[in-house]
Amino acid sequence: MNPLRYRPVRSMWRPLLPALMVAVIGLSGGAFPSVVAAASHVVEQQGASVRGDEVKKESVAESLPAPKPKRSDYPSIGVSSRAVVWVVAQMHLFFGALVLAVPIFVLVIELIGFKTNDDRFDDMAHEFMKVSLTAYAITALFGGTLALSLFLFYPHFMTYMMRAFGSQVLVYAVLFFLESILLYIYYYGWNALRYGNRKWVHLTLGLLLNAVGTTLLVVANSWSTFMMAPSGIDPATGAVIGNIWEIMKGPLWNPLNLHRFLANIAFGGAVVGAYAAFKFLAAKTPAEKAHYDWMGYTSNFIAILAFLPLPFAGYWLMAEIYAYSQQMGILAMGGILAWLFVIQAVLICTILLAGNYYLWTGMARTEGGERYRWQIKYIAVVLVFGFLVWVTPHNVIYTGGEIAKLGGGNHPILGPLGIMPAKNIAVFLMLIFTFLSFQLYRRADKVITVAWQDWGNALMIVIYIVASANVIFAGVYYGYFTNTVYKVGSSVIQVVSTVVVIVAGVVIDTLMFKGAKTLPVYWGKVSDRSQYALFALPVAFTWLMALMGYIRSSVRTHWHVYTVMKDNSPENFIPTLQTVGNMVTGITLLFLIFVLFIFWIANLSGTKQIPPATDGGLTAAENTA
Amino acid sequence: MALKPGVIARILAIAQNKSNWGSKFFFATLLAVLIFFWWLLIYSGGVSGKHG
Repeated sequence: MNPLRYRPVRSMWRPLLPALMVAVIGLSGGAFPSVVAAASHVVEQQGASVRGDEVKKESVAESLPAPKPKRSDYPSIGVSSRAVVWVVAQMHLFFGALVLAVPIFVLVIELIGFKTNDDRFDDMAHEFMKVSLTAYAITALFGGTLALSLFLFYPHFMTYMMRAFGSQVLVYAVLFFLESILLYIYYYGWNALRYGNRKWVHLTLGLLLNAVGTTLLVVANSWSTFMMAPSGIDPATGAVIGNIWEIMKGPLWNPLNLHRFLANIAFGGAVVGAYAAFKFLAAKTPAEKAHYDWMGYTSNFIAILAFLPLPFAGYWLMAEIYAYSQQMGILAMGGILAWLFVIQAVLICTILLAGNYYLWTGMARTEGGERYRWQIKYIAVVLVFGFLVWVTPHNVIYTGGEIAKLGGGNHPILGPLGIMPAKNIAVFLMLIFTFLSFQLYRRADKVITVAWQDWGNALMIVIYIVASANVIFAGVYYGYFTNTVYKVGSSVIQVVSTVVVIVAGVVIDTLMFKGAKTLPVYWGKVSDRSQYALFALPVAFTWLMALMGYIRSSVRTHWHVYTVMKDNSPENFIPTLQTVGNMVTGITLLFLIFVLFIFWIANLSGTKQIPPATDGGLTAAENTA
Repeated sequence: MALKPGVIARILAIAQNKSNWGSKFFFATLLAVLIFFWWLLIYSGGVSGKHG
């Protein structure tokens, strides 16, 4: 008997058998419609599953494995391919971050202005958009250059990426068109759609602009996370076997989405803050100074507000990286790249110091600020000590003599400050005290009148003390006196303690401000020095993004797509820290030059030439006078 | 059929005098956007995150 003849019959009976059994039971036992329906559903599913498996097997067999390019397959034009792509990709990301983030807070500011009937908000939001609009074209230019560079220098890699993402890249292109259309209507329709229902139409356009922009962001993120932690592929060959959702929904996608979403807002706030500072310092009249001072304050508020939860998103991303590949996580935070985290500490502390300093100097705008000035020095002490702990490295490259003097590889006193528990304590205390600066600033122009204000203040003080004690205890006890599992877990307690302070502070203040007397705020009455803090913020943010972006990308080591497609180009190694420092700094400077260009262009649009002299060397304006 | 110039402006002008539909339009769009992001980021075709 030829078994092949019976195979189709057997496979046909397999899905039908449960249905037949249920049908027999149903017929003999009366009406069991729900059971029959369920059985039919099972049969359908089984049938689909069998067919799906067949299709899948066929597609695995037919799918091409990931390319294995040889060194000679990488075109060379006489310059470092990696350096070119590095610079262009980072510039595209900077500008992309700016143009996607600015409309998010512009929409919120516009909504506040509309609901409070305050035109100042509306004008400010419109001016922010002017900066974003100029940056938009540059974003597209760098994006196009990046795509061309990648196809030129890494053709096999791009072939594989196109195979994996398929028509999704066209969806990206369509979204880009939509983004452009909505952006131009939103900006140029500002005054045409200013009041009543038309304003709501304008706000809806802004909302759609942000929805499209954020979709662009998450689509592009899926390319980065696929390279780091590929999904929807056959791990042995790299053949694409999953659908687009399986490709996109890698383990790092949503952590990176959240992290970049928040970081973009903080970065965008910082850049427009620098624009406000630039305009403030160039302002000729008190009215102009007042406007740009207020604009700078709002920008700083946005930047720091988005920055405060950023470490939590960063922890999530790093935790997922560790969960995906311990090797990758350890390379980032325990290997050569760990040194860059020390520079990260310097930059984050610079951001916190600049943000706090700006708030402290801003208290001079109102007489009520005097009441809280005495607390600034204590906040400064916490920030400076936190800074010092955070930048303390675990170990340094010593000479033999130095090791002998120290009595080991680690400093006896400073050594324990080099590991994560100490740094976690420092970070969370710095965040808590930065929020305190915020809270004091918000209270500076108010005289609280509620009867329970003493109880409210006492409760707030207790929350600060308990949260700080919790952060220190969890860090010291679980960090140094228990095993590693508890050490990692303790950071959750610290995150919760910090969040409790922020949420409780906002809630208590909101309740306490009811019926509060508001003191006059003299916008423009702030030192020029404070404006340099607004310049420091985008510089530090830009540097930080370039640095951390490099780390995120570099953990792939010699893989284009981690564990699936090897990088065989001549530069498939982690460069020296010196090279990284130079590259990151160079890119930061380049971006800042472009930002100055954008500020200049934004300023130029408001500049009018005086009409030429008509008679006797007098201009038309002079004649009129 | 092509819209004559100013038609959209006229529709908006008429609507301007009607009740407060603008806020409803905005919040309905906001709801749609939130559902879209839930679908895109969390549901995503019912696929759960796996990796090779």
